[in-house]
Amino acid sequence: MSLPTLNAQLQASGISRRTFLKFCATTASLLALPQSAVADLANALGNAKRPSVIWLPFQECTGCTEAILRSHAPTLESLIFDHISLDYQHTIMAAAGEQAEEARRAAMEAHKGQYLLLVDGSVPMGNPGYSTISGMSNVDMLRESAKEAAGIIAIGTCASFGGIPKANPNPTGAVAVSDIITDKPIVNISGCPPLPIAITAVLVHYLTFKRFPDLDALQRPLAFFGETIHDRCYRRPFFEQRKFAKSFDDEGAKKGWCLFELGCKGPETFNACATVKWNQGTSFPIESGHPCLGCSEPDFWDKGSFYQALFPWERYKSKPGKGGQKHAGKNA
Amino acid sequence: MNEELIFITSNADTTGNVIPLLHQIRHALSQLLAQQEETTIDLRRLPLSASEESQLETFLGHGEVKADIQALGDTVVIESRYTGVWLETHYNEEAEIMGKYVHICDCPPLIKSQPEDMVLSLNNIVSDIQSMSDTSTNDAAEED
Repeated sequence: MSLPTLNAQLQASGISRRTFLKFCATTASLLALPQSAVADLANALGNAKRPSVIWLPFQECTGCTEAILRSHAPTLESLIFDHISLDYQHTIMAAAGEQAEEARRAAMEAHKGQYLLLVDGSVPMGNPGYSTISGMSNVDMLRESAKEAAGIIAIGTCASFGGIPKANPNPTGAVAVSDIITDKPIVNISGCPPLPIAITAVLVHYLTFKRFPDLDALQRPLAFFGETIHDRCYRRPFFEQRKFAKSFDDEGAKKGWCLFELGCKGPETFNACATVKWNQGTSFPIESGHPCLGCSEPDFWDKGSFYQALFPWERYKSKPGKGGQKHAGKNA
Repeated sequence: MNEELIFITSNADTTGNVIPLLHQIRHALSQLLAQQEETTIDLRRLPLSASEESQLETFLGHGEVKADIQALGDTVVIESRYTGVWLETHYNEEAEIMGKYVHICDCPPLIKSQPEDMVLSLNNIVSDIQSMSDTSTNDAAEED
């Protein structure tokens, strides 16, 4: 099946080359690529064929889907979402039941070895009947769909690490995608929900370079998960000065001091919320006065109170390795 | 319940990166003059507080050129008061800043007309001239 290139599709949509270059410049920035690479990125991406994507929502709350689909009005990122051929996503597709499954299998057959598999939600292993689609258990659907996939993108903390369904006592026996599929390249874009732009950027990287970007030890793209929230937090100087809010309405809170003693998990949480931000760039949780919950880390729900300090301040200051060194350094 | 509004303020504004960044710009400008080597600095990748970013912008100031580009949201390109040093800011359609760069070059790439767009432009101008000619011919025929 001959699929159009992005260039052809952009031209048909009346999108100028200049607009596309602007998109490439911002995406290169997000992926920590040098700006000198923008022209090469534009050429390679522009000539990339439209990829087939199969998106499997499993044991999830639909928050990840909502975050991505409702994140922005038509924007530069939507260039990429419009470009992919989303052949299956049972939450949003018009078809249902057998018709939908037929579409999934047809896409798998037509793009054998070339399609990308997106998964959100964890997979229940305790009893396959906890979550089924058209009578098929999640684990069977995952194994069947992954078999001929070129790679897998696990979207959100549930698909990446099991997430809230896996929280103690894990009633469904929830596991992550990477616990089941071990013979395919997998990228984890964790977060509850994940940053939509991280998904776009990973897709762009894959289309351009035919491989996933460099990953950390938890298989997350280093460009987005290479630094902690704390590393880039605008309140960090207060942490260094030991100026902490002690309650949500004290003088320290009003002055915007560090939320570490109110339980902020920023020092141990790798994600790009502090730079990319949420809600059209409005803010991120700490900027809105709430400590980071650490939602992009494994088992974040089971790490004790959200409102207790992680450790004594002195201990952090004496740690030899901070920031991105903790999980850094794996290339998929 | 205390109804008092809580205003969060911050004076956390000292990463100390402004002066090193200005030296980098100075060095890049001398490289441009000596070897025609262009440089782009991605401000989004640098730890700069909001006040430092505005300090940088104030230092660079405005020169002779300002270009507004409408491409899925605005892009504003300003030549600073230092010729050859440009500040480029990309916004999306919701006016959210998507990227901010300092270009050290004679003309930022986004200002230049793109060959791919010019090809389309040529087709359009040919077809528009043809339409205009047809209209004129028809008008003349009607007058006769």
